[in-house]
Amino acid sequence: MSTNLLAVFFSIFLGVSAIWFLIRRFWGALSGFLSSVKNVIVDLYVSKKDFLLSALLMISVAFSVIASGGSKLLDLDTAKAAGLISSMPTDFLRARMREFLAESNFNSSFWIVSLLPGLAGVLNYMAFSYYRRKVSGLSGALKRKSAEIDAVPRVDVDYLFEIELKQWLLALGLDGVVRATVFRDEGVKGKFSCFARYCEDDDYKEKRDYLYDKVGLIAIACKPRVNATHLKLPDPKESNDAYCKYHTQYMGISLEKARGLRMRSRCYIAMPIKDTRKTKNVGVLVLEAISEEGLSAAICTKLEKYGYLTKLSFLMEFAEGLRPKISMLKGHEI
Amino acid sequence: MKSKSALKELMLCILAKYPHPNDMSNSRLTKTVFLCDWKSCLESGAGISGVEWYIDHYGPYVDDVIDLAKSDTDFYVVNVQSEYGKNKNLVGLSGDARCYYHLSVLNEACVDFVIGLTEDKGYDEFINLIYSLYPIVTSSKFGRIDLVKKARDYNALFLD
Repeated sequence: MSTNLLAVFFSIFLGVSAIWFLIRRFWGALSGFLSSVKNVIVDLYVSKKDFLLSALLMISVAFSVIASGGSKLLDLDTAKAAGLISSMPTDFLRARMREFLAESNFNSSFWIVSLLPGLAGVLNYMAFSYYRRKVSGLSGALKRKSAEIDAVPRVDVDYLFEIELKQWLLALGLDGVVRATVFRDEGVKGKFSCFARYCEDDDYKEKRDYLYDKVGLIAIACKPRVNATHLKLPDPKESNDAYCKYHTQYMGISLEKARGLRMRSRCYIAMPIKDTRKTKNVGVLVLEAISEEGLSAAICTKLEKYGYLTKLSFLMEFAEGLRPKISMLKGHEI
Repeated sequence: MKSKSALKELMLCILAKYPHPNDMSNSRLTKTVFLCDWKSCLESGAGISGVEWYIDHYGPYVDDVIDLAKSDTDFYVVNVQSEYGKNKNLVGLSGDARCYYHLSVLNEACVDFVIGLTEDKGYDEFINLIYSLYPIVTSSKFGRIDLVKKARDYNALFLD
């Protein structure tokens, strides 16, 4: 009994496997067929703009062939003409050929044969006019695009930094609202520029000003022998006063400025950016997060360990050639 | 624009003094006028051309310069191909307009300064200089620039 049951189960298993195998084969074949149909349709669609050109040229060639063949037919003697008429496969064609070769129809046949090359020429002209207009349209569009590209600076410093900061935030796995800002020492007293900034949230991405006072996190990060600063702030939703007071007490910024902060960050990381020879600070990297746990102290170690700060030092030097510090231009009185 | 003749005098002076006439495209001339205005604002607190400057996607730009060059017979505008094969509008002086500009000594000194600063710069270097200027880096795109106010702020900055 159990042996029979086993055999039944085995048979069912084999049957199901075979059906499954067949379905898969059938599906594979069907997918291949659908894919090739799709390709043919796409090809037709992509090349459909050239149908007009191809059709005009083909009709023109056909007219030329018919004209040259027709003029030969008109020169045939009676015996050969009769042979040609009888060689036509159907009565209809035989009747048309007889009409064409008849002595009484010579004039109309002659004019048809003579006009066909002219018609072919007109069609050729139309085809090339269409082609020329198409090419000149494309050339104009290309020139306009080239002029636009030409007017853009070869290296867009803002874009370069923004994309770099964006990649870092992704690579560091910082989810939630985190903002990264690079402040640059512009060589003018008490000022740093907001050189680059990235935040996924557009509300916090915009720079309020270009020049920022050297206070708060910038000043803290620029203190001698400071490598990294990690701060956690009180919740502004619970007590806005406590939040602003923290800024005035520990970060040295005015109460008015603290109240006016657009991004109510709960944690900060500030790290000095040194030049590639590690001789002086050239800027400050500031990371901010809205969430209380948005930035851990371990991020500072990761920034050092994975070479992000070294890369930033390199980029800052590279950018200096493209966008000199304000002090440099001011030194040149411009 | 405050006065069309102020811009014309400035353009005449720049074109008469610029040592590479075959290199003065509309874009370069417009930005040179901007530089002269900026330098004048730094020195005397007022611009020269009277143009109300606007920053578009490609830095300070207004059509006043090319419009004036096209409409005034003292200038000529020719469309030529750059060394990269692109079209550009070259602006120059008509033969008899070469020496007739009337600028104050201070304004002429600003033009001399700007030409001295930029004459050896290729277009890319020249554009980088423009894009690095205080009024450009501190202004947002697609808006007007108050050069006089910017010059006041800039003069208030001190080197570290």
